[in-house]
Amino acid sequence: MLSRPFAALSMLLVAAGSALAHHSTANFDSDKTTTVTGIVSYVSFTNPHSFFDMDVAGADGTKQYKVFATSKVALLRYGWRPDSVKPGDRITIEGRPDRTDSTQLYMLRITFADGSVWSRDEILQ
Amino acid sequence: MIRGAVVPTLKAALALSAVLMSALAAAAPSPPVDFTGVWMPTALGPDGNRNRTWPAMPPMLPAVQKAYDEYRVRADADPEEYDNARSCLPYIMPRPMLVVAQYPLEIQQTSDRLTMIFELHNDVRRIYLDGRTPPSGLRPTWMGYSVGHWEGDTLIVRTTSVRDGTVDQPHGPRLTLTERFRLVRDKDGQTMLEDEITVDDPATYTAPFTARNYFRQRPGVEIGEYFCSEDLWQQNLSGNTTKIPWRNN
Repeated sequence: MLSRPFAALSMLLVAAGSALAHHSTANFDSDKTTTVTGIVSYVSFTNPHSFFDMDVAGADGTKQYKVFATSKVALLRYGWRPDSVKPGDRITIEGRPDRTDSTQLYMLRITFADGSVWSRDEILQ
Repeated sequence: MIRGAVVPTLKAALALSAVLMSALAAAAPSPPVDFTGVWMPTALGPDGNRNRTWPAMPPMLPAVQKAYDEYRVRADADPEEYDNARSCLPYIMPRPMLVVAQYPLEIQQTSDRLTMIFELHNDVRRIYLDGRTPPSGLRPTWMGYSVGHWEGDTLIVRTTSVRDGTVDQPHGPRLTLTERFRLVRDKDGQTMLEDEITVDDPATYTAPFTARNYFRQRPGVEIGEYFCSEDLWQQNLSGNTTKIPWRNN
């Protein structure tokens, strides 16, 4: 799904955590990883940050998760497109949970509806 | 009769001055280095090690330190409230030069000006190379007022009139930044742009200190748009009203 015109960018980018340098990531627990699969209900492919809302079915009912990612302008450079994630898509997110609200995740890795994968690790060497 | 003599003399003088001006212009040395292009800040410095832009900073003066400590208590208690993503305000110099993540800047250089177009916050920085001195009575701005000149292959840029308020690196209105821009080679022989920034603010710090950042030219990269309130606008368009943590909504 994602073109990779700037694979060389992996050389360039920065210490983990600084991709959101102008927005605090202290609220996300860097010691924990949560993986959820659900249906996207809202996509904000935007600056200064992108986020998705997704409905995740569990034993105690359906919860809405909010998934944060970096800016639109940066994701576009990494090969994302405005419709890479759409409402109705079934996606899987691996992310760092918020320390006080476990339904908020900072995205590390996404499996798109078509099964392809994008990982933040690839850009943070 | 006299008037008739004066006019040709004036004309001759004007013609002579025009010749002199063009001769001077031709004699003016062209810039020794052209930094024009799109540059991406790097994670790794020229030695291949992690690029640490800020050095250990000298102590602040006691009164500044006290005010800064009080600020930190407030900011650390509510990082989102104090996050500039909430306000969408740009960075204050020298921070735009010390970004190390994923946002390129474009340099356009002519003989009398160097313009930096930053993707992050759509910022623009103008560095005047025409020999001017900063006008008196400037009001402080986020980018400050920058004038530069060449010393060999190094562009020396002096920036004053920077507004206060930088969060992580406080400074006062008498801050002077001296930057040295030059091309360097990394350990593999590849070209990098080095910006060495000396921060001199005797009203804030007990001594000057120097920070560095490095950039690689990326011919395939274009500067994108970064309008910092798209998330709010999209909510207006869509009717979505969920809380965005970095906003007050």
